[in-house]
Parts: sequence; C-alpha cells; structure tokens
Amino acid sequence: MIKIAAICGMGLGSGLLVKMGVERVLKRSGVDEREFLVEVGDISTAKSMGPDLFVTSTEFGPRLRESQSAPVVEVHNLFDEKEIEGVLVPVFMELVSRQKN
Amino acid sequence: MNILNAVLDVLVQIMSKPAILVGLIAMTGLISLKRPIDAVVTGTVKTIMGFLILSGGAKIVIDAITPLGILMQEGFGLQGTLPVNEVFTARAQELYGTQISLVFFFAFLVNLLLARFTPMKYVFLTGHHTLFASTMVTGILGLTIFKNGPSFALIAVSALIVGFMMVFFPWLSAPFMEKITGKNDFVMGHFGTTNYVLAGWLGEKVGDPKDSTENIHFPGWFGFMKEPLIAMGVIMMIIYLVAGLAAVRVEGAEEAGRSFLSSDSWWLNCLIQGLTFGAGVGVILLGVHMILADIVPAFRGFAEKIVPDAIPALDCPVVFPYGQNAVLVGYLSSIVGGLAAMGLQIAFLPPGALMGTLGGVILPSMIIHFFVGGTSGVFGNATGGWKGAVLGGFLTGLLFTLLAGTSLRAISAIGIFNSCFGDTDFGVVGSILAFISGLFK
Repeated sequence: MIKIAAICGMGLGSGLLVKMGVERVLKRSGVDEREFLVEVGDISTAKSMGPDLFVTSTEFGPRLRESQSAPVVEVHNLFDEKEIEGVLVPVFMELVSRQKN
Repeated sequence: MNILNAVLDVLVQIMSKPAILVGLIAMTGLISLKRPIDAVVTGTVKTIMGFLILSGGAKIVIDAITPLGILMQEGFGLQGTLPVNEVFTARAQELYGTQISLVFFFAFLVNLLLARFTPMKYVFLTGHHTLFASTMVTGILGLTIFKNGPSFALIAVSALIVGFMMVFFPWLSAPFMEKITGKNDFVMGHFGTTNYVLAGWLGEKVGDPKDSTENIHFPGWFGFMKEPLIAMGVIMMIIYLVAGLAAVRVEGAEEAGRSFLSSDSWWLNCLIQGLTFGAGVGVILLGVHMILADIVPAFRGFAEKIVPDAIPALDCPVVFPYGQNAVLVGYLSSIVGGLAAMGLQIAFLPPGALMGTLGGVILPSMIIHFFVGGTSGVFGNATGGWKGAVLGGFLTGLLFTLLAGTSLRAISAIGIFNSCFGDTDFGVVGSILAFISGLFK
C-alpha cells in the first residue's frame, strides 16, 4: 500500500481536486484501488502526515521539499489529469517496485 | 401500527442529526459509484466523524475568542467581529443542522438541472463553499420569511437560491478565466467572484498585462505568509496583544487578566488564546475536509453521468499557478483595503455603540485576505499587470469587510454573535436576502 498525501494551502478544495485526479489517473493506469490511499492535507500539517509520496501545486512544492524525505510531485495545473499522469505515474511505479523488493 | 410508529420515530430521530444525514448522503454517493464495501463503510463513518470534529473545533474557537471581545470592550469601547466562514458554519449547524444538510444536497441537484437545461453549463465542485452558501441562505431565510413556515418550503427555496449561485457566479468568471489560463477547461467555483470579476474588469482600465507581477522578485521569508493557518494564528495573537495592552492601560493588568478563565498573566493569556484560535480553525478545517473527502468525488462522478459536457467550477487556488506573485500582491493589498474599511467602520461608529451607519467593526481575517485577495490579484494581473493586481486586492479587502460589517446586523439576528461570513459573494447575496426578508416581515 502506497500512502499519498495531496497537499494545498488549507487542505480543502484544491487538495481534493488533486486527490480526485490522482485516484482517477492511477485507476486508469491499471493500479488496484487497494494498492494506494490518497489523503488530503494542508501545508501546515503536511509535515506530520508521513506519506510515501506528496502531490502538490508548484506553489508549495519547494516548501515541502525543504523538510521532507518522501518524494514530492509538483503539478502546475491542478485539474489537468494528463499532467498529473505524466509526473506521478513514473514516481509511483518506482515506489511500488521498491516496496516489493 | 405501533411498530410502524416506532420505525418512523427512529427515522425522524436519525434525520434530525445532521452528522448522520450527511453520512447517509456520502454513503449513497459511494454506493452509486460502486465502491467496495470497506470503502463505503470507511467513507460513511469518516464523514460523520468529520461533522463531530467540526462542532468540537467550533467550541475551541469560541472559547478562545470570547475573552477578546471583553478586552476590546474594555480597551477601545467597541466590539470587533472576525468574519470566518468555518466558525459561522459550525455554530449555525447547531441551530439549523438538518435543514442546512438537506439544502446542501438539493442545491447540488438544482445545479445539475440548471447545467443540463440552461446555457450555464457549470458544475460547482467546491464543496465547502456550497456548505457555507447553504448555511447562510438557510440561516437568513429560516429566521425571517420562513420563520413559522413549513420546513420543506425553506429547504426548497434555499436550495434553488444556492443552486443558482452555483452556476451564476462561475458563469460571470468564465470570460476572465479564459484570459488567465488561456483555455476554457474550467471556471471559478469560489464565492469571491464579485471581486474577481471587478478586479479583471478594472484591471483592463488601469494597467497593462505586460507589466506583470511575475517580473517582481520577493524575498524568501515571505513564504510563511503563504501558510494561511499560521498567518491566521500569528495575526490573531497580535490582535489579542493590542487589545490586551489597551485594556491594561484603561483598567490595569489585574482587571484585564480577569477577562480570561486562567490565572496566568494577561500577556501569556493573549499569546495562548490567539494561537488557540488558529488551532481551533485548524480543527474545524480537519472536520470540513473529512466531510467532503468522499462527498465531492461522488457528486462529481454523478454529475458526469447527468451532464457529460459540463465545465467544472473549481476552488480558487487553481489559478494561483498562473500568477504566484500576483497572489502575494493581491493578498497584501487586500489587507490594506480591509484595514481601510475597518477604519471607516470605526469612524462611523457613534461613541459607545456596537453598530454604526456601516454596521459592526470587522477585524482582519487572514484566510479571506489570502484566498479572495490573492485570487483577485491573479485576475487583476491577467488584465492589468501589477496595477490591476494591487487595485483588485485592495477592493477585495475593502468590499468584503464593508459587506461583512453591514450584514452583521442580519447575522446577529440569526442568534449567532461574534462571527459572520467573509467572502464577497456571501456578503452580496446575504445583503440582498436580508433586504428582501426585511420587506416581507
């Protein structure tokens, strides 16, 4: 199971958009629903969430990277599923293969 | 017969608990999306617990803000109100929980019907703003026009109004959104749109998009201002300290300290209560995001089946990447505009009165300055460069603070004190409703 945190300023609307995008993209790429979990969080509490992977906007990417060891995936257009797919899937697949080893 | 009555009684009891009602809405959505059984159970329980967390957070915030009212009264002889939607919603839920939850659900259906049959083909996906709008409309109408009327009429009319807001404001934003993003994939689904459109429209007149804010370089330490919750806590602490200092000057440290329930010194109490307020808003936000985490995707899945060609109306930060500096410029100018409006409100306040010609005194709410001010900055920048961003932000602070002040009277009539709505469209629609309901009284 890969834990993904979708992060925005308040952990409300746009974080939820990212969560929906991530869920749709992964399902479309043939990943089983039970292999991942997406939680929404805000930038201030993100550091305590401890996921395997962060997905966030380009705005918050640098701030998350400062204090995080987990990989951070940045999306420019939060609603663009193609963009999410392009940046997320390679990182996700690498995590999966690392977890299996 | 007795069994039937007993069943009915249980149903009515369940329906009167908004937490369970919203849980059932989430459950219906999850089942209709054919999610596995464990996802249905988790989602339903999570939604219900989110609701309970929301009310818990409201208690923290209210306890933290009460002494501030006393200090301001002692120090300045006036009452300041903080416009925080989250707090207002949490409190109104205690009074009109069931009706608000039903309006929240039916407004979404009205939105779908309007998108299906009118040219305003937008589906509003910002769940927390639908919840706030439902709270405001149901609250104001429930206490005025429909005070003694049947519940179903209140729910029907409120759902129609909220459903209309859910397509009308996105429709207003559409031409400007195309200028900002260069596409028409999505529109603005956030109730600060009056200001966004104003910023875009005036930006064109005052400046040139070529003088973009994105050419400005900001120092890195500004970053903490981009964490709205932290900024909120820090500013509240400052407001508390200023009010505390004023109260100490007038009444002495001992008397000022008595405003708090703790025996610590006044300044320590100010620090802790200011930050506790921010912490409480954090708890409420956790509750709201637990409520919405499963309902919004379910709504979206459903909407795609009913109105396949609809354009989604999304939360305001979706435009932030199109002008990251513009967000900061709009945010800071909005704070200036808000302080100017607060100055006006105080100036028009008769000595000793709680409300003047411009209504109550509204304290700066960093959450609204950041999101609505920042988004206005992006809109203004897209049509008028940095001049547009500054003007758009300034007007945001000015307008929402003034509207919150005047609508405060109507809001306190609902029986909720020391809190009101912030975002501009809530002020606009709220003022219209308050005006109409005054005529019907």
